[in-house]
Amino acid sequence: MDGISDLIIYEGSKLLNKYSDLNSAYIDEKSVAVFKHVNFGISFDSGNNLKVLSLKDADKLTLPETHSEVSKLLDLYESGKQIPVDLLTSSTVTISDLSKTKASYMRPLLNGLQGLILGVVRSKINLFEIYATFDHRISSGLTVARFLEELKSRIMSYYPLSEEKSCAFCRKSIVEEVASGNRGFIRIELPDGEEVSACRNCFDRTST
Amino acid sequence: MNQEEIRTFLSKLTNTELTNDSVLTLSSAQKARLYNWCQENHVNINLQKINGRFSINDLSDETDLLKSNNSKGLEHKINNLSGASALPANIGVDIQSINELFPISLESDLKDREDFKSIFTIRELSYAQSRIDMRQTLTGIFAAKEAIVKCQYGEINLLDIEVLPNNFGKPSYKNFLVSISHSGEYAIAIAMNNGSQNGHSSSLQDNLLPYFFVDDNIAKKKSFFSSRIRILDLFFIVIILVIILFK
Repeated sequence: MDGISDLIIYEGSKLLNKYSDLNSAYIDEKSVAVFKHVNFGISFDSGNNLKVLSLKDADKLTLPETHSEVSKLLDLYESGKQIPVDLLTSSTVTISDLSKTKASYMRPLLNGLQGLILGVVRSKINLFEIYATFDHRISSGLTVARFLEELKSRIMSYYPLSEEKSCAFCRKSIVEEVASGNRGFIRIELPDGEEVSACRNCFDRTST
Repeated sequence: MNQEEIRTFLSKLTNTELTNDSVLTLSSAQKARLYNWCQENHVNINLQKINGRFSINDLSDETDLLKSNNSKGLEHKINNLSGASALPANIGVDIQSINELFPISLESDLKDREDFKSIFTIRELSYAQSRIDMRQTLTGIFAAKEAIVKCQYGEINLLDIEVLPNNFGKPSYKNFLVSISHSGEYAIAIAMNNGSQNGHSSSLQDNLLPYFFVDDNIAKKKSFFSSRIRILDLFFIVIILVIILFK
């Protein structure tokens, strides 16, 4: 199962048009800036070079375009070339994805003049958790809770229903597994004690 | 709600500038969207008249109004709107034009639009959004829903029909065999009822049958086995006839 950053960026951007409080910045006691566009900042870190690159007008992109644009940003980051200043400064909201690490909890810090940052971790093999830090001077906890609730239901809609059995690693369904000549899934216990179903291919792999 | 607003909506729906005298014919998808719009805006129009050629003036016939606000969403007599036969069939087919169904590009948040939420489930929308051509995919799904409606008994809410690809990438819905094809700006779908009317899948094997018994070895074996049964039947009939004749 791959990460869910592109889904979070795609659906989150659409939702931020509805929850505009979260796509804004606190200026002073009298003024709050509401951004017209959703520029999703994506944090990249290869170890000692943390950068947040902006995916501009993310709310106008389709999902395949979002996926492609995020890949381009990653390529740019990894190329070591000079990154245009506007890509480093124009984000209106940020996502920090640590789901490829063993982190099971995170509390992201707000980035620059922004009102929301999302943090993603993967607490179990097929369980992602999204944490949000927001500026309480602009938005309320209830708004953020509703935003996260809606975001979760939208992301879940891209995956098979829970009763449809699938491999915990590659999402292959049990129907496909049987069709490929195997008798069914294998229940395995992971080092952390979690029990999951795995297809024959994923069971034979030495690591996830 | 006045004629002007109906005219504006129909102009957007058909992507043409209409006058109140313009004669038009709506596809089943357009009828469904018009019906839905009427419900949202509490507009009473004569739905019987939108089944053929009509003008906007025809819709304001006050003597024959149907109360559209008595029901919610698309829980309507879909047979009347889709042109499906009142009698159930085991097979249904439907063709839709992408440009008729979605005259404009879909940039906005579909999951927050009532007109889309009343026709497509969130999972269908997500599936379409993950595809390169969202309009084409949604048109295909809509055609499949309409084809399934033509196979069913009674009134059906389009939201109760969820057409999604199965694990082999083929469109599926409960006990129906569904096939969708696209060409240019058209999508066509055919659906066949593959069992009980309630549409619940009975077993894994049942689900596998439609896709595995088409042209693989099992299908050949099955067909060979069936032909052997027919040959044996014939053989026994001949023997019985011979016995009868000799008696």
